[in-house]
Amino acid sequence: MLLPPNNLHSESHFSCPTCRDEGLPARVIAVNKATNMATAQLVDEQRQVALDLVDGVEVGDYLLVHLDMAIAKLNPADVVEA
Amino acid sequence: MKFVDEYRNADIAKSLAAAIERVSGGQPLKIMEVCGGHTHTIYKYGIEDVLPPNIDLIHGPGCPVCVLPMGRLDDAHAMAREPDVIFTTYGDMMRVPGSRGSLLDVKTEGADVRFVYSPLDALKIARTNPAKRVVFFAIGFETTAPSTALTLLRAQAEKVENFAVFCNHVLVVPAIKTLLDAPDLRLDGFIGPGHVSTIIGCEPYRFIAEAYGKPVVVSGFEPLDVMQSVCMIVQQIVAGRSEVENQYTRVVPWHGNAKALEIMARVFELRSDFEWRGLGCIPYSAFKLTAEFAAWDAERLFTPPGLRMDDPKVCQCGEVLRGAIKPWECKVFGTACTPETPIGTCMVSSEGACAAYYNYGRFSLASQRIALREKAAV
Repeated sequence: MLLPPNNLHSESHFSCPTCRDEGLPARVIAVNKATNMATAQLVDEQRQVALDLVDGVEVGDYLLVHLDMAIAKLNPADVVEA
Repeated sequence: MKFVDEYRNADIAKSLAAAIERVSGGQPLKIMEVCGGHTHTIYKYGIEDVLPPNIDLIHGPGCPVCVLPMGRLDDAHAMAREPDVIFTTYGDMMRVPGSRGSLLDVKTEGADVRFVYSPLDALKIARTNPAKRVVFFAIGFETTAPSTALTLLRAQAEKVENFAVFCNHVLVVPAIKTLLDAPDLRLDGFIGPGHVSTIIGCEPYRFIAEAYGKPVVVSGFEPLDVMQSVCMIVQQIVAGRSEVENQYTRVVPWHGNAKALEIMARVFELRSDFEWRGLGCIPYSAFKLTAEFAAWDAERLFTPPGLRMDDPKVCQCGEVLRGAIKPWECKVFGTACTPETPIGTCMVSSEGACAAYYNYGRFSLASQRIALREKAAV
């Protein structure tokens, strides 16, 4: 199981099952540049995630994922400092 | 779990609480957390029990399920009952009561209602069921809206013509302004929504600080995030400042996500008004689809009743959403209205203040704190 890269509520999928107005942390496992989608490992599952809103995503990056869409790229170094 | 633990450290929480007590000097302060995610954190981790008794956290209207009026639910049910329709929605929307039952009841009657994880999943259903009309029940604040927008852009690009969106996206800022203008609620500061701000940034809250003189701190969702945000708000109040600050810098960029704002601007436009449960009609507080996406707009493709329905008389969700009463002060809380048999929306979604309090808060020391406050007021 992937450990969240930061405090982004590893249990947040319990906190907002309806609309998921919160994001979930995910690690990028594979990137399909043709479809602009990534295979991302969330806390307990893998999802196909759209990369339209974030640039330069590579395998190993951490994303904030919301409704199968990456809304931000996370910098683990920043997280540690925070 | 190193990082998670760091943000849930009880000793740090206690020292933050001590700092809040020291800085606030016992001054009674009402601080609203706008986002339902924060409400959930506050109850789940018992933050109210750690904070000094002079800090009163007021739960705001930041749960998109909770603020959806019954009339819009009835419209959704009408669409789901149309022939050849596959109606798709997020999980808990299935249980939200309309004036005549929930989507689960509509499904029981024979309608094809399906739970999806995301709008992209709904689009997938449309692709694989070309003979059906697939409607997606879009709800949520600015965090959720880009996902709907992106899905519509993909539907347009792929010419998926049997897909439609019933758009109910609402906006945080007009709701906050309505609360600030409400005569029965005096707030001293706001814990700003974290992930909404990932999209819209922090600038849209400036009017709260500048025109209304209330501090806003955009906050993360871990218990220490919320505690630190409360501390930052208290520091501002005591210093006589009112600014927008970003506690959640590791995720929220000050100017938001430009790409998300761009696609939202192309797909959505503001409605002249939209009814919110508990807050009434708020001008320019919700999105509808632009003319470019008329072919995917369920409100144009179907003719839903569009009626305004009153909540059940016993339901006090409106007052809970305005922060006028606490969940446990509702007449039917925990008796007639429970997560298993919800009467109001606040009891359905786990982000709803009533469900969060029912699941976690009622085991806290809140009642003792209320007694202490009442004693202090005498």
